[in-house]
Amino acid sequence: MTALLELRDLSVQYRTERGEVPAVRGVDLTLAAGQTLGLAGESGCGKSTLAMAVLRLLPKSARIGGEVLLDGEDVATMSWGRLRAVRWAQASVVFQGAMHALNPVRRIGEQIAEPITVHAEAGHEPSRTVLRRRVAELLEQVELPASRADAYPHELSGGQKQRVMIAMALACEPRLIIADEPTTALDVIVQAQVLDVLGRLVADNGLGLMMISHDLSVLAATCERIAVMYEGRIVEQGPSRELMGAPKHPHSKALAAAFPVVGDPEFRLTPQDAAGDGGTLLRTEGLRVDFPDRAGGTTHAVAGVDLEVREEEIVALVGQSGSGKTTLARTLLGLQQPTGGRVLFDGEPLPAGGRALRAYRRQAQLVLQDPTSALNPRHTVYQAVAEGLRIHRVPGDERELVADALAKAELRPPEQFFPVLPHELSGGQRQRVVIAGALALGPRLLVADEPVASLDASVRGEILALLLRLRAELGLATLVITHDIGLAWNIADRVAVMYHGKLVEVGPVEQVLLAPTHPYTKRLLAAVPRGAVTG
Amino acid sequence: MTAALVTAEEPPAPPQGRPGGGTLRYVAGKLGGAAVSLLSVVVLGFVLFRVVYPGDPVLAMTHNRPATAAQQDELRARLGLDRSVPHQFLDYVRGLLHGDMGTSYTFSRPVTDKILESLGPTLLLVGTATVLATILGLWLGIRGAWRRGSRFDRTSTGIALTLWSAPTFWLGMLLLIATGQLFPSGGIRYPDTPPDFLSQAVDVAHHLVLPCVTLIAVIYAQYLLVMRSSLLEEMNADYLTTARAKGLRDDLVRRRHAVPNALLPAMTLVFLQLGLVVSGAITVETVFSWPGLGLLTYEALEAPDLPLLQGLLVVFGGAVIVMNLLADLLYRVLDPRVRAS
Amino acid sequence: MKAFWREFVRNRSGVAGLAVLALMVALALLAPVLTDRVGLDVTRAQFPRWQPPAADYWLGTDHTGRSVLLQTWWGARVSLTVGVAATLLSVGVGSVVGLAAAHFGGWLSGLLMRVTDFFLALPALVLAICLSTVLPRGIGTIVLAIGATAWPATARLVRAQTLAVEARPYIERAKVLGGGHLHIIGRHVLPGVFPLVLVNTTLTVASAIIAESTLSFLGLGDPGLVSWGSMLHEATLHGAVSQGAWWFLLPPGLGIVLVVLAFTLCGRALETVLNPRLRVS
Repeated sequence: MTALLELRDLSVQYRTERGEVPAVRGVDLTLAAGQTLGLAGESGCGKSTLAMAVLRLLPKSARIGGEVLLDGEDVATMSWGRLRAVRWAQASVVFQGAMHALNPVRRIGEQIAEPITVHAEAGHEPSRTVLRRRVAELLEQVELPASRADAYPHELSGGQKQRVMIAMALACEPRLIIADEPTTALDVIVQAQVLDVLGRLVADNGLGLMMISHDLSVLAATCERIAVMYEGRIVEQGPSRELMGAPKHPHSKALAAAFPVVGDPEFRLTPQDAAGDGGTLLRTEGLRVDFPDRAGGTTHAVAGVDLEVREEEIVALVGQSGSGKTTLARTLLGLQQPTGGRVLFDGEPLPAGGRALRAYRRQAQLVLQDPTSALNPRHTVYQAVAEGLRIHRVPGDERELVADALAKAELRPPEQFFPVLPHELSGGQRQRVVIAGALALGPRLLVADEPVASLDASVRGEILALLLRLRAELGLATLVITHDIGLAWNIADRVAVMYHGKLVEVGPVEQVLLAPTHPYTKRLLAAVPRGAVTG
Repeated sequence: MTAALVTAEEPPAPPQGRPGGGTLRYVAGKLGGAAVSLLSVVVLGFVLFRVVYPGDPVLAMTHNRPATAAQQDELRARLGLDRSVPHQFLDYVRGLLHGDMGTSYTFSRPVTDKILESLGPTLLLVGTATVLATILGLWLGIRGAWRRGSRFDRTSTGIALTLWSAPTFWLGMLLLIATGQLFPSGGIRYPDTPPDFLSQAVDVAHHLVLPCVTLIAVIYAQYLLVMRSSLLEEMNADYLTTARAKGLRDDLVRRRHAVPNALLPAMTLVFLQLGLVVSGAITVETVFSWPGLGLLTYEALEAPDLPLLQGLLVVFGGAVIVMNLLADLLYRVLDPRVRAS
Repeated sequence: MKAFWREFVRNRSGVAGLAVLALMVALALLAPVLTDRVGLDVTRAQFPRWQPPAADYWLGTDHTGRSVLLQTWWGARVSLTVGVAATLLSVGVGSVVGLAAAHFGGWLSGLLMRVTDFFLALPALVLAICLSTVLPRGIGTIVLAIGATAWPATARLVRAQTLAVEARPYIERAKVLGGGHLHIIGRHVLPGVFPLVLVNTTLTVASAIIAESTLSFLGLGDPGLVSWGSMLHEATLHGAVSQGAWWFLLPPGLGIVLVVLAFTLCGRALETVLNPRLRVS
């Protein structure tokens, strides 16, 4: 029996201004009918290129070597007509970021029906009613009401759009579905729902599935086998359970570590009782932040929050997007004025502006999610770190202070980094520069908004270790804001779960994550892929 | 086009079909905005010609006819120029509402009549040129973007830029010299043409060719460049990959997905560029003595005929404001994304 | 800077534009050294009238017997000066308005953008004509009229770019570090907006030169100065077209086309270099 999809020594090079850049280097993979395969890897490892190569969707600058056999037929030797016939009818794609993969100005019903009409035999195009019925059927399969066929993409939420993509992929009843990061940028709970739909449809119809993700736990939840890709090569391949349980290749290990098992002591990086019992550093009392919304009403982004961060303590504020956690963080830093309640730092109310607020800024600093955009691309590392020093006219030798801050952020030797521009650094190094910029002012509190969310898995551990070390060595208190419960398990002493602007559960990590009492916390923990809470 | 300035924390727009109420409010808002703009044009015109203008309008009027002080005073009273400025403004607005824009100094006739007489030829010239230039520009723009960097693309962009760099009137004069006796050198029709409709139409069309070609040559480049960059922007969009993956032929991907989406911003810009067409029309009509608003403007400049200029400013400004209003409304009909926000 | 230059040099049409500009500016600056201004005086015209090009007058003579070459040469000075001055005025006003509207927000922003949109919608030439009619004739008026009608486009652009820069997380970081308005604008926004303003300036000079020629052609120019537009005005007034005096029409027009095209090409090349998205891979 021929395999559904077979890659033989597949390689892809891009022609660029800097010469040929290899993206995929000699990959062999086989997928039999009805099998599910996960392809894991960090950004830039070539996994998306590989997916695109299957249907020959790569740009003209790509040069492809080796063979891609779809049902035994080499894609490279197909005529354009044959290739078009094969596309979507034999293999379809669920693209990454459904937001952009759908045409923004056409109704989703039309877009789902489009491949059906395109692939119908000449003269046998289905009638409107047949198409409508088929679209309704497909939408039903992905658990969307048929009436949504008349909606435009922007009228759907992220999860709904991804469902539409899945319905569209099923339109021509292909035998193979390639899903490229199908749930990235979705909330954990929505992600679980979408994965559930996809997994069910694949199993029910006996489809082959090749799913691509940077998130090993997502793949483990959906696929029988996982292949780990690194720098264009497959470095490890095996049944999901084995690969997750006992990764062999160092890169697989780093990937696996990035998605910790909540409850597993091995993933608990913070030492017991590291927090000490210092006094309260930051406290909010009944904090409220309202925004006017479009309809003329009011959105309560933060609806009465009492939160406490003690000295030398790491607190994780966990919540989904829209829960108000970033607004809360902005308010703590004086970037957003509260509507009600107050913020106390060291027992003093937070100043509303002027010189006093500026002075407060030396005490509390921010680490942003994406270090790439958090650094001005035109400023060198030296300028970025010295920025705060110059604003506050910190006395002392500027070069020495900058070097000291960089060293604390473990960029050594610091002098070497002075003239470097952000784009010449790796993601992890950039985040260290941001942290160094904050450390230069000698703050007592660090507010870290998703500090590792946009970093590759292998860098994640290093940055977390750095945050822990800063606490141990400098006595820095940290409030980590995250959607990632695993991160809270990794490093936090206490965790606060935020939902609809309120803290629904606050307490020590072991207590909240292992014995949750609030239904939302329970749902959140259940939705984490492979989120079997042990312990 | 729409800059996403919403923070990542914002929940996605609630999926609700806005019923007619939103549309009505939108239209009302746009109409109100246009009305304010129109009023501002009227105020601006009044301030420029009645307040800023350093000379005495009566002296400008009686320039060629020496008049006694008593005659001048009488004229002043008749024109209402002896009243206070706010009073004069109210008089002017009241007149405007009744379609009265004052009397032209040079023609000694109501400004409104002169403008209405010239409106037809201008609409004919500007309308024809805009339609043809739009078709030409969009078509070349689409072809250029789709074959980006090709010889066709480079040549067509190069020619368009060169023509765009040329002053309209100069191109017109060159065309006149170059075509020799092939086309009439000015006016809209010969006096001796038979009065039947067909002969008249042919004659007007004959006169229309040169001014129209000149105007097109200068304005089509804008449309080409806008369409080209709009399509180039659109061609990076992910949904085109989706369309290709679905098995659509390349030309179908272009026709069905890329071009319609790129046309939206381009079409709005076509409307917004109308001010440019008006400017072009003024000099083209001057060169070819085309009896439209442009030529009227040129004639009004010599005296200077203040009431006429003031009226023309209101008419030109008003036309562009109305076209912008139409563009806004059209865009809302065509683009579902705008409808929702 | 070096990388920028290397990228710019790769754009052939941009380099051509720059070369033409350099040549034109050099010639314009050297006019008083290489030629004698006296030849521009109508009362001291030395040659026969309406002569086609010949050895003594390379580009022929006009209706008064003055050399067309000499007028074109000196006309370049006026056209370039007006174009650049009007652009500086409009880019200056536009940048300040756009920056203020984007950075400070609130009612000020609303008001500024309302005014900007109003002026943006008005047909620029009509407004410029009205302004030059009611103000005293002169080169200052022309500059003012063009500058006053060209600024809204810059304001819109600067506002959009400022908003884009200010939405970047590094602005948030600078605020948390304690940076005030001056710091944010001076250290982050201005350097981020500058490239776009530069492109816009180049393109605005192009349209300002066309605007100058149009106003002068309509007889609204400075009567005491020869510019390319005023030459074409004279030519029409004295029937150069019916005389078939192409030598009187071609040089000033070609001058405009050349300069405007050069500025446009430079601007587009700058845009390509500064906006990587437009770069051909």
